[in-house]
Amino acid sequence: MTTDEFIKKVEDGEPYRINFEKKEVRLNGFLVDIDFETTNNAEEKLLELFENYKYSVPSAKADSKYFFGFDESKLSTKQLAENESRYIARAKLELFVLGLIINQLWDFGNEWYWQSKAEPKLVLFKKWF
Amino acid sequence: MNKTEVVCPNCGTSFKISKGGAPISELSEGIHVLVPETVRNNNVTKANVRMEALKSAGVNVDKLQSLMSSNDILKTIFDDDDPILEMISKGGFIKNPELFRRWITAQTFALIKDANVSWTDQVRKRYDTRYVFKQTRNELYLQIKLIRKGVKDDKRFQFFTLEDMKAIFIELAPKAMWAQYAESMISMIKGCTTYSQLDRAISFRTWHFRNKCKFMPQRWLNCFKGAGAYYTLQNIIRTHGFVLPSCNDMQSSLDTVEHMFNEIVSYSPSDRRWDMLMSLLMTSVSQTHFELKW
Repeated sequence: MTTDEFIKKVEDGEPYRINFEKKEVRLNGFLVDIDFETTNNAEEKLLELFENYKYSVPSAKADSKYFFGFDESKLSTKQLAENESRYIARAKLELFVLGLIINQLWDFGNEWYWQSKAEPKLVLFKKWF
Repeated sequence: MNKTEVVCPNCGTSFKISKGGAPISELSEGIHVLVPETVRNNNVTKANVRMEALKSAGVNVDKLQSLMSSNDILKTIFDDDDPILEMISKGGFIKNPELFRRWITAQTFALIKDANVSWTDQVRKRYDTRYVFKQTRNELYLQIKLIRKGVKDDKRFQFFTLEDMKAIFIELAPKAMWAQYAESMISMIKGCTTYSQLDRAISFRTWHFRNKCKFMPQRWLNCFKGAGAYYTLQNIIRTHGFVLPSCNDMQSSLDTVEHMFNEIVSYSPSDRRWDMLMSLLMTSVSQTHFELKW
């Protein structure tokens, strides 16, 4: 299954679960094999997806346990009306990061974590990789 | 301090005054009237005494003094050309994007955003039966809370009435449980006469819905439509500067919405047509090309 097919199924309302520690994806409770695409400028796309996730419309139990997103009180009415659902934005972001983890496309240097300078709340840990 | 007691010859009330003080009786129209000291001397109040105590302790009290001496407190806090003062003098409202039911406004705007898809189809696309149950139950909880606080005239009671909620839960019951359980549940719901009774009846069993169940009761769609249209209109008129195309200003457009609301509410809950209010919102938004500012 490609990533686009997976996200289309999520948009239809199928429940999913993405786990970084076990490196697995579950759709409707069943394990799924996904063909991840490789990108040249991974950092740019990661930031783009993170911003999409941060300003997405929150709902119950839709928040990721790995990444930080804004509360409803910090979003304007316009953002609440027009932005994407957090459930879908989270699937896009977590799936992209899982692709990085499985293909091992990140340089940590000597550090045990990586923190973005533009978005201090965006942190990747070395133990996931 | 030594005090002496004085009795008024006219009405017979007694007052205590300090010995060294000035005489408290004054002649008016031939009758002796007692005048308390605090009324005669305006400068000696509790606040003034406290302020002097602060001053003697070395605290800067200039701002406090200017606040207390002026009659119009607002003008001393804000500058003369502050936009908030203008808003108050014009319409009586302070525009605040975080006020007054933001969430339902955003929800309704997401539903009417696409002109090609109707409101009902958009609801069917975005929500499922689980949401219908959850939303109605939360509304029930909230109304019980409001009644417990002593609120009786809230507009909320008009959209989801007790009769509406009973009808919605009766329609949902066969989708959520085994047929025999559903029958007993329906007979239990029909006997309810208050909100708390209905709450007790519903929590008697757990309600399971299938994953992609998209069944929407017609009654719920109607009530949801009414609440969404009414509160969205109120919100955008008050906070986003929206004016209905047939009206001139904020107050008159609020009045037309209120008039329409009262006309719909005059019917019984089963005959209320909330789609009229929704059509008012959708046509006026599309005519004026209105977009949310914040």
